[in-house]
Amino acid sequence: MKEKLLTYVNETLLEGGEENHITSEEDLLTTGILDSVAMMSLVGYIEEEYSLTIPAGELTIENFISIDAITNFLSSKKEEIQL
Amino acid sequence: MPHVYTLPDTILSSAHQYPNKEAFRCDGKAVSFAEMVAIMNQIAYFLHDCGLNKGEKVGVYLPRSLHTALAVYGIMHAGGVYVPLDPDAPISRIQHLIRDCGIKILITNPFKRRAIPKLLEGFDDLTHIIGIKRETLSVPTCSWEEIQTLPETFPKSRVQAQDLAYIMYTSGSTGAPKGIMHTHYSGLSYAKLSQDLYELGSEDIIGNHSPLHFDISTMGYFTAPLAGSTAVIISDAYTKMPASLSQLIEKERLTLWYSVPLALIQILNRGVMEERDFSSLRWVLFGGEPFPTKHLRELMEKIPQATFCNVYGPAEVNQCTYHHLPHPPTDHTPIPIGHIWPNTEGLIVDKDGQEVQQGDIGELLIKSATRMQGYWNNPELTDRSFYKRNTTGIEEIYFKTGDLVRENEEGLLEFLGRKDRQIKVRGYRVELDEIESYLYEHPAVQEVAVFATQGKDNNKQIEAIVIPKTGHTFTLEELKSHLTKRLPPYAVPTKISTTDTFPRTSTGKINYIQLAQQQQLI
Repeated sequence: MKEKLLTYVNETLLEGGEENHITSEEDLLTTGILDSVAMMSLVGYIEEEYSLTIPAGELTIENFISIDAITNFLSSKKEEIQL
Repeated sequence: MPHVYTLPDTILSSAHQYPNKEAFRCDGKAVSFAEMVAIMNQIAYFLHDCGLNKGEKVGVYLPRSLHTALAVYGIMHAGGVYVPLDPDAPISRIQHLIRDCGIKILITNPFKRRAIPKLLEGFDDLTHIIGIKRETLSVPTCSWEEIQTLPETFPKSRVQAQDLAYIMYTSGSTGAPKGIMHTHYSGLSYAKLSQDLYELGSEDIIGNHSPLHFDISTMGYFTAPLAGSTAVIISDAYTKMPASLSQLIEKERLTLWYSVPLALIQILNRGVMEERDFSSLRWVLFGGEPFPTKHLRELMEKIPQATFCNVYGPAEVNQCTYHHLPHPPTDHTPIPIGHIWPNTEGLIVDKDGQEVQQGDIGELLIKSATRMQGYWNNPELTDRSFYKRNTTGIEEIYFKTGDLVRENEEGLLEFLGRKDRQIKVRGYRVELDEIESYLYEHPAVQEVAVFATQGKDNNKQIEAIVIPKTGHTFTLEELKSHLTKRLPPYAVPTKISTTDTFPRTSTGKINYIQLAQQQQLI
């Protein structure tokens, strides 16, 4: 799951620019790596890929600050996710 | 008590009255007015040591953070002029601005550590970088930690009210951004007028959502210290996560909110408002572009105790009108921009510069203490943007806003659009001609038309249509990347396509209206 999300961010959102490649612990929100539009694309990708709807109240900084944080957050929702 | 003639005087004065009160808060950290004085002295000391002279420009290349407030005041205290550099703009644009106004010193922080080496590649305009420590860079660096070991006293600089305080860059129609020059006097005039209008005092907690390169930020950075209020700088992470943003309003007990409509619409749509307590809000200010009435009504009903105010004013005069909404809008009539605020005069003129009859449409001209000094290094454009008249032996200077307005029967001004091809995207000014001029730089482009259409959720989106040069091949991705390297993200067209012919007017010009209508139907 972590690899898949990293690939999506690096290849699709950052358009494969090599110098931009991020790591899973990197802060996605503060550094300006992803703007708010890209962030919403990432949320849309997760919802589609894992067939789930993330309630607005769970779209928080804690849950989405890094790929690691997103992976932890999604693991906590294992029962809802259809892999 | 210290008198207030310049912007840094606001900090000195509030430090005298409320030394231990928090001046700025961000991400759980705070700095008091007394600490502000110490750190702005340290920054000024260092800048002076780097050889900064009065009136020289210093770049502020920072995401929203406490460092931003420290940098702004340190620079002005040293007698320098701060120039906000959009941290999300492409490197080539940042380099252009640095060169355009002769910046030698840059203030940043470790969040921009990836960008700094790229910025310095083949670019030797900078002599010092403050805010990150790296021995491998081609210029001397100094970390924030090191700054805070320097002496905490700095002889008060000989800055006067009429000296430049900051230059804010905005989209220019010829392809080069233009720098709006403000003095301590114009900045402080805005701070005083806004403090009075919104009756702000030391009990207020002001939410500063806007980035430094957007003029809405002057409420948090200037008005708050003048009023002895606390400004909460809302960091970039919060601006991207509406549920966290709404939590911040509750947790920080904000009394005043000021942002573009989009931020408020995001809170309304995805900020789980029903789970939050917004009872601390006294004021909700919005500006930068019109607020769709449907969303505004919903929002006002959810925050009934707050007064909502539509703020209007181009960055050249900061704010110049206000409209406090008496009740939530009941229909789709656009919200008026309202009354011209105190110590300011407005004229509405026709295309010959003659004042129109009440109720007729014309361009709004503004004469105010908040007016800019001019555009940096562009006396010709400055001259064209001013309307001067002399009826009493004393010359009066008005700024030509380029905005078309009308005074309605209740004496309220209504905004009706632009005289030129400037649009607003998420509150940011974008000159469509600037985007066209960058596309023309591409070797495969024969002719191009850039225009705005209504996208999803009533948001404006920018579209570009290109007629390719015969014999040249290119991909649309290539064109997009050509623009991404030159323009800030909000100004890059969402859609680029090709065609072999444009609809034209009888005089052979591209018919933009017809073009936009055609695209809207696809």
